[in-house]
Amino acid sequence: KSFERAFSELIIGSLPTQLQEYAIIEDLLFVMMGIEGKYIGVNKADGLTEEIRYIEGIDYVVDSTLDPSLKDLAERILPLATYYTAIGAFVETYSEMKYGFVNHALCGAIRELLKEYLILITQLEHQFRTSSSFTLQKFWFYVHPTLHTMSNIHSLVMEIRDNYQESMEDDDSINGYDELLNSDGFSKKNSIPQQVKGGGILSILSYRMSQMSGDPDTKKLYVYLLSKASKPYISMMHTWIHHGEIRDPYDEFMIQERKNVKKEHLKEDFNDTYWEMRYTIRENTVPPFLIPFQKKILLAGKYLNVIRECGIAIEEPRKKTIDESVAESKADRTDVNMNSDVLLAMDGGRFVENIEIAYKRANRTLLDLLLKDQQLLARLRSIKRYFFLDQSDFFTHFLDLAWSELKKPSTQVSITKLQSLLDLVLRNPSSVAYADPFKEDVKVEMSSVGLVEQLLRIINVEPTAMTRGGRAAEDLGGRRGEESDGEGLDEGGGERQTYAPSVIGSIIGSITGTLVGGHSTGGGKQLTGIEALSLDYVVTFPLSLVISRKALTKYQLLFRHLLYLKYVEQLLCNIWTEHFKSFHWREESGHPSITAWKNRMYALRQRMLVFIQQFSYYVTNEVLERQWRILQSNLAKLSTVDQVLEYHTDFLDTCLKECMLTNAKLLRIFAKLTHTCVLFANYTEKFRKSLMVLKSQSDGNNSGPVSLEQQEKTLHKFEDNFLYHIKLLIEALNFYSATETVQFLCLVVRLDYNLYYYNQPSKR
Amino acid sequence: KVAETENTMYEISEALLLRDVVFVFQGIDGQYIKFDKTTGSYLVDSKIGVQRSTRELISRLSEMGCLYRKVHAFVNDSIDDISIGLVGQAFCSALQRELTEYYKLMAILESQITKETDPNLSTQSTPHSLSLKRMLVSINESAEKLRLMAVLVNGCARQKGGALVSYIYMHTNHGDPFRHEFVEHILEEVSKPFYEMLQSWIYEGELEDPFEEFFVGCDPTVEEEDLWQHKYFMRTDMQPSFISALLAKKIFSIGKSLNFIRYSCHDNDWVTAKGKGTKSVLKYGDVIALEHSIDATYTKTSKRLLDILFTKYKLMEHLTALKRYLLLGQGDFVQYLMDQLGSGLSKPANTLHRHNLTGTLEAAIRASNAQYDDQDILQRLDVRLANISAGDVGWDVFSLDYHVDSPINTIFTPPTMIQYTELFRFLWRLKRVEHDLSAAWRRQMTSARTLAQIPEIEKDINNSRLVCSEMIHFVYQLQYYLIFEVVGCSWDVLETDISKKSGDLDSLIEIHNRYLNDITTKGFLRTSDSQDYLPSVLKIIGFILQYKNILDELYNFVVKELMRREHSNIQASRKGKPVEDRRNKSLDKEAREAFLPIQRKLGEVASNFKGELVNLLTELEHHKDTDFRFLSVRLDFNEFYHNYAKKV
Repeated sequence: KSFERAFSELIIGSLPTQLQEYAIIEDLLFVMMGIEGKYIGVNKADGLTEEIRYIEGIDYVVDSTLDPSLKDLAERILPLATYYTAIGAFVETYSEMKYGFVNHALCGAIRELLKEYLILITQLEHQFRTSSSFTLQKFWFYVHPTLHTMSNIHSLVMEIRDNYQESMEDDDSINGYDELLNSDGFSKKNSIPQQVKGGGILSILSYRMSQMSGDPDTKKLYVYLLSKASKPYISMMHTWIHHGEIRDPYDEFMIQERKNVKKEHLKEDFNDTYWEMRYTIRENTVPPFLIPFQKKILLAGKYLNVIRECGIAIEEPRKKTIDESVAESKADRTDVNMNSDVLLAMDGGRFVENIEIAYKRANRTLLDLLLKDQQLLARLRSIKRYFFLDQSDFFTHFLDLAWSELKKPSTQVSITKLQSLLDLVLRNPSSVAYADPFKEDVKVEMSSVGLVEQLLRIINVEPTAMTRGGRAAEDLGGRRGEESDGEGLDEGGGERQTYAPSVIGSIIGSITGTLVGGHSTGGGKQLTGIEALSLDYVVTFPLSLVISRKALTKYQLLFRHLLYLKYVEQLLCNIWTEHFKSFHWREESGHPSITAWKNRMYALRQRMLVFIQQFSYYVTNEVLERQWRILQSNLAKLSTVDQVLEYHTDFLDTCLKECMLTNAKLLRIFAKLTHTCVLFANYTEKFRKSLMVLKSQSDGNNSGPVSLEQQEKTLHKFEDNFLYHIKLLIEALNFYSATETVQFLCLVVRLDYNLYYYNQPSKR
Repeated sequence: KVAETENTMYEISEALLLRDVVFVFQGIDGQYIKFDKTTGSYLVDSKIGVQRSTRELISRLSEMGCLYRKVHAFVNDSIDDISIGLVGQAFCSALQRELTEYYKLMAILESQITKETDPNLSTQSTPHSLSLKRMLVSINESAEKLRLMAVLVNGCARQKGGALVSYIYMHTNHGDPFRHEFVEHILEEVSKPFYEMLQSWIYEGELEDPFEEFFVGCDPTVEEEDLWQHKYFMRTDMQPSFISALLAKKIFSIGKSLNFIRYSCHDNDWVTAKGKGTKSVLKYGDVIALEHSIDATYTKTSKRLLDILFTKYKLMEHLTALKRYLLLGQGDFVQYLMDQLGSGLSKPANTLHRHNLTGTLEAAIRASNAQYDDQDILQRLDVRLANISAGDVGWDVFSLDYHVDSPINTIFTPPTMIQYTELFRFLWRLKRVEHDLSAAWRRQMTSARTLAQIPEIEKDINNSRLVCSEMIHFVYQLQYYLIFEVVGCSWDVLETDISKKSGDLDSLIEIHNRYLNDITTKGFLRTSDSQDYLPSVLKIIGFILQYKNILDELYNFVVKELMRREHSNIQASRKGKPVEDRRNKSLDKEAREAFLPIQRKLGEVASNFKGELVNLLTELEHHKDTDFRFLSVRLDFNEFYHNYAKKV
């Protein structure tokens, strides 16, 4: 005993080397398990705090009196102890609930490795105890391969920890934004940044794997870790793409669900928020190997959710159908190297096929839902009937009935009355619309902004907008924005709104010149009922995905455009009736100059009428009908839901464009032209009065308050204006047919088929 | 530091320490290693010479002992305590089983140690011989399990039933497959009693829950009458978190429906037959399969229940009957009733006798197409007289009644029947006004010639005709609105909703309630916001009735006046005076005095009527509900009142 005591207090350097080696092996075995030995202690000289030491792994030093060569050998083995402690600490912390499934799985995998490591130690111990030939050299030989693995894991662990630190530092910028979007009410303070959980971890793993795949052992290690760590992620993805559910208590999946975005808003909301915002990809957290598939993954689940929101149960895909569709889908697979190591590491690459299958299936189911159950095509046809006025006998009837109401200023019009009149008309069994099952969904609406003004606003904003869709849409909804105060974003919107009219005003001012000032597009002008009249259509979920607020507004714009054309045409036709039926006009005056004046007026009226009629013909037959045909044929060969959205948006956008509603210059000229027509129509009354006066004057041959010259001058002004603008329009159309759409040429041919305007000298 | 006082000599052989450690693992103090109460952990006696590293190794190992003590203590405490509930008991037994596994491991370790320390055997250690380090490796897995158990034990104190299941379920949310599987395994055991309860609830409708652990509770004091509404309730805190709220609601509904079928619809056979039939055994694990099986049961049960209600208990017929009789859908019947009762109801209420009224009702049924209706339904039709207070006339207290009994009174609850009665009374009142107005119109038409004999009142008569037609317009439009726009549309919604036949009795009740509420809110009786138009409408109706009475007075006056003139003419002719033309005769002073108040009242009531109507219209015009706005357009289709309001 006393010997032993003496032995233990001995300085190791003073022992024989044999004993020194024995003692140091004994100590190393402990140290490798993270327990301080007798001669190997914690290096306290580096001045690190306990915490950092815990995280980074404990650094050990060997008693300095040890035999130098033994000491060197021992020091080679010592990093293992450091790695072990660091990794152990990592496993302990990252197994906590809040770090998420992927981290848990990764820790589980590492723990397995650590267990093997411990077994190695016990084996060494056994060797050491039993075999007398066990030396430090042998020790080193056994331990050496493990050192490599451990150092790899250690550096991985350190990288994860570093990432954590980094992302915590610029936490404010990222999380602040996230919080704003989430606004679920709970603080994100304690949550783990995305970089070090879920997709982030998988990214790190796959990146390191591809960086270090040169060494087969390292590669094997990472394949092992990745396949283990990705398991929960893959299973999450599985439930998402096959069931549309997200079971993600730790917010680590690449798809984020915002529960506060509800489908009920869809009717009101202008920006398709539901479709865009409810499920989003968490940027930067998608593991790189999934990036080629991310869109498909997102859409597959999203579609399934739409189906589920409609109360239809989603069934598990059958094995057989899977195999069938695998065979089918072989042809058009995303061009990804299927055999990449990373993909194979995860689930044996099966999930790639799964994504394809799920995507196809979700698409097919949702398409069936939209086309068969929800009768999308019938809906679109019905919308076309009401907004594009095909077979619109009901509408003429409606205008006749509601004329007294529509004459009033738009603010005094009773919408209820109009609505009841519209219902009356639609339910009239003699109308075509009677057979439409969706006729109950049409509603009358009064717009507060004139068509041209609204369009100009949109156009003016569009080029300055960063994202075309978003901003334009926002301003399209400006009308709505006035009613419901927007959140924050409106500040900018308001600015633009005040800005837009003033710009328009100045431009118009320069164009109009002599014409009675700023009438049609001026901001303060009160609209009449007919100018403000617009339709609305009740769309329910899930059709509102396709026929969204935005789409409906486009329909409304086109409808108002058409309606205005019809209205002007009617006014001009009324003049025609007047000219032909009224006694004053028909009676030969006998005075040649008056007859000439009258004839000029007839000619102008006719030119206007031709212009308006040709224009409406162009709009209805050459644009709307044609585009509708294209849409129909497109919809007949659908394969994905996004195609539906795309085709439909395309359809509307092309219609708008070809109807010249998207070009500010054309629109302004058009507005001036129609305005001239309306003014002319309104002036007929005065012309008639002056005609009567002139007649009596010419009969009596005495000069009176009304002179023929004056009348001729007024008429001349109209003629001038009309001619100038129509020439301008034709020129502009010619010009834009090169840059925007060739379709304009058709209109040019229509408007000037006999080169009448072309041959007219320009007067201004 | 303790280390200074520690004896770090190599005194004790590892084998002895190993023996101690095995004891410590089972929570028993060893020879050298003892439980230290102050630190709550096992320590090697500091006086005994053990190397420092070994001490630390032992302290790592002895963590097991502490964990074991904790789990063991919990099991020991709970095993005899019945009050922890069935789920709690299952939890204990699961822990026990895990501990058995643990004991097995201990036994193996022990045997290895004894083999080693046995001097008879060769001291040469085999590759399987133990050291402290090897021990650490071999208990690695068990330690992990013990740790998890300790965590579970720590948190679940005082929880029971569904809450306990939820708590354990929470711990399965771990990505480490080892932990996940272990907890899941325990959960499977723990949730067994829960699933048994669930099974008996959804297959037989029985609650076998002595410790209130299930998320459905039962109130035994509630009568069978209220079985559907009040007998069962949900305990949300006992609802396991893996069962979603929707699923829980379905489960709740299934059992309730089964009980309803059994006790209220007296269809025990079906329930028992179903209970005996194929049933899948439910257990924890596949939530999707659970959902499927519950969905299937749910649809089956709900369908059965609705079938019974619609076929055996003729629910649809009852709904139609209520619409026909209480909401005045059967026109000829209502007309007959009105004709027969009209005069009688003007009398003071206390002179009315039930038997007379029921007699009239019977006659009305016989006289109208109602006679072809189902006997069972006709028998339920009855007259009800509300509590009579002083001054009431028959109109105030009379209403029709419809008797409902179990089980359909689950849908037609007393409050809903009161709603029906209210609706009836309002519609009946309107019908009465219509009746009175048409009587007035008839009198106007028939007595046109007579009236023409007094030219002085021609203007007033003409005026009264205009006012009357205004009133008729109002009443007709209002009736049209109520019958078609309100009752008709709501009925249509009701019919389509019912024809879907999806959902359970609850949704049926909800559909019916919505139907009634739609009618009441849109039919003016009760609007959702503070605005209430009923008083206004009633006022207008009151003015019309007043007007009718004054008109009657006017006619009586005219008749009297004519009689007087006739009389004076006869007298004159007797005296030989020339007979005056009645037309030219002016009202004498006495007659004028009698006429003036009538004229004044006529004007007053007419302007009251108009004023109130304009008020109503302006309010309706700005109501946010489009139906009300439509009504205002309908009542004022040519903006007559609009202009009138402007003028005033």
